[in-house]
Amino acid sequence: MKRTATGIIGVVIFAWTALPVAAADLTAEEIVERLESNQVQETNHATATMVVRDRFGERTSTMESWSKGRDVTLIEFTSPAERGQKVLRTENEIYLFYPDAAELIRLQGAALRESMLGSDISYEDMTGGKTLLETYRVELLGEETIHGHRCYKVGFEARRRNAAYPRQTVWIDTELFVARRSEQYALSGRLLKEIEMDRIETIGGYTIARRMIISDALKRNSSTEFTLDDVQFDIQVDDDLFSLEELSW
Amino acid sequence: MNLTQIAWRNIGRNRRRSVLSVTATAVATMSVVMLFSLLSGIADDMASNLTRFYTGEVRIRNEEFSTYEYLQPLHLSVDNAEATVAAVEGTDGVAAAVPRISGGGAVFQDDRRIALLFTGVDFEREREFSNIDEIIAGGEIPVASAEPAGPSGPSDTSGPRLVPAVVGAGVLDRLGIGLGDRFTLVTRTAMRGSNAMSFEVAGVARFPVPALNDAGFWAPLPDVQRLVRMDGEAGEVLARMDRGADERAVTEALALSAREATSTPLEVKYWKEIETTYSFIEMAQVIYSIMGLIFFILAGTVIINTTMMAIYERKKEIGTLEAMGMTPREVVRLFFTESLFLAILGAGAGLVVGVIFASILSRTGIDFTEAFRGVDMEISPVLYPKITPLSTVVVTAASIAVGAITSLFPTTRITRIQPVEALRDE
Repeated sequence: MKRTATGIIGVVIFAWTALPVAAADLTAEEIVERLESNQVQETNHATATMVVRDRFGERTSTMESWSKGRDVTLIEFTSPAERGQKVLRTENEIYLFYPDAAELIRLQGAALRESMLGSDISYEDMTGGKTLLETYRVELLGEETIHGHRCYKVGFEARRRNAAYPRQTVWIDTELFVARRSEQYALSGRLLKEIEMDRIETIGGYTIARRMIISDALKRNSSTEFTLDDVQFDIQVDDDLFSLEELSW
Repeated sequence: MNLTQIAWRNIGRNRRRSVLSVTATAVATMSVVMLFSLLSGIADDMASNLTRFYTGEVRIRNEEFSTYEYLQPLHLSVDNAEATVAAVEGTDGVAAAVPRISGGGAVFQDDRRIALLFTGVDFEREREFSNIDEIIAGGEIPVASAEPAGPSGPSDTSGPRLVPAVVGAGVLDRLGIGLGDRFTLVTRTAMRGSNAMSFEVAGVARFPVPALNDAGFWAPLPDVQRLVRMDGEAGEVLARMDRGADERAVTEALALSAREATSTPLEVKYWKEIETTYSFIEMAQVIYSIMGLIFFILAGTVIINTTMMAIYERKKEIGTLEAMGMTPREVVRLFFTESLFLAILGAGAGLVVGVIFASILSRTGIDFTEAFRGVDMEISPVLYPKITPLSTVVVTAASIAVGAITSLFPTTRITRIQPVEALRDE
């Protein structure tokens, strides 16, 4: 689920926060509104670890991120192999900063399908802007139990052709309104990605999933695991941090 | 008058038919001479392009690299690259050696993703190894800088240095830039992450291979090592042998010396053992040889026709010759010699005309630019036919042999003709 994937570290590290509510007889739209209202904080700052596993073994990247509202996120990689590389997501665009490059790289169009650091996450997964309900038509498909937790099974169908995923299915915890699993499909119905979320904890008054495992169904022996090491919500974050001048600093 | 003289005189008895036979053989021979000259030119061109720009004459790389090549597994490298190159250069029978790192990346322009192929090279060594000066169409060959391309540390605010590169002319067209302009390439690293580096167009290259010309650029090895996080490593080490060296012995010696210089498990291969499109050219030569044979047989059918007509027209004469004491074997020899003369005249004429045309084209070249557009082979768009013993002597001999042998089928009919029956023929 695309919006689900735009939590604490852009879309890279998900944060599904939730407030317990009485959830009887909710419509699909209401469920998604509650899910989404719990995903976006005023500001946040986090450190995270990304482990990419493929046929050659596994490699670990670490990163630090700052977010403000729904659309603005800055990620800076701190692991030795990528130290100093930054990704800035603004409302409509993604900019990459590499210390060895003399210019910023602006990604748009088909370029957004590039993999981020060879992981199972594409930059397209990080694009923000519209809400889930603006991007997708939703339908409640029933209830299922995921890892011992009762979940709403909600189907998402893109309203526009340029959505990152034409169809998605998301399992949303009926009590916490946090996603526990999602599947992304191509227009043809072919499974593209699977995401599992766990280690759900309440931090600073928000309930979040601290770990997410993404599998690209089109690649063999490939998965990406994100773990949220530390997170702070509603802290002071300077607007300048998200400027292009600051990005190449 | 002996049989040879009689046979030679007989050729002139029906000039029109003889000219037809000679012309058919000449056209077939000329076509095959030119075809084989062109094929030899293609094979030479491809061998040169492959060994200069892709495989060297001997390629040394990590033994696992080829298996996963489609995944760009830069981490499967040759470590201790400089020492490995030095060891290869010091091997008997080796004329030159170079380290290289090759991979794919992308330049992002507006909403376009432009795929490029980068190669990190030691330009000084490449001057001798691949004769890079020959393909420089503008600007100059860069000199590797001792300074790293990026800032030296957090306190360094000077920003990254632009890395000089020799860029394929077609790349500049695709990027819409020129000499002195810059571009930034994003690629995967040996640590399977990503990195980007900015390059300045220092030289424009006209690579003879369209795929390289339209997508390739060369940059100093130390900068590319930094780009892909392969400090001190190479993707492969390529060697060129001394002229006339024993390829098998040198390849084995190279394997030994390279393995002493690096801890990497190595794959050492002679270029013809590597799966490349060159094997298609070798296969094509076999196929075209068969086609050439078919050409000759078709030309031979005209000789058969000529011989058959002569036999029917000269039945009475055959009877007279046999009545005067000439044996059937001698009559067969007479007709066979006539056919042989026709084949020699035709093949000789075809050879002369074919060699003249092939010689002209070997200087002017044949421009296949339009035909090869979009074709991903290591063939230059302008090809130069090459006259070889195969395309001349062997082809001519084959043409004469086929022409003469095919005439045996009708001439054997003569042995079945009885002199009395032949004399009665109207």
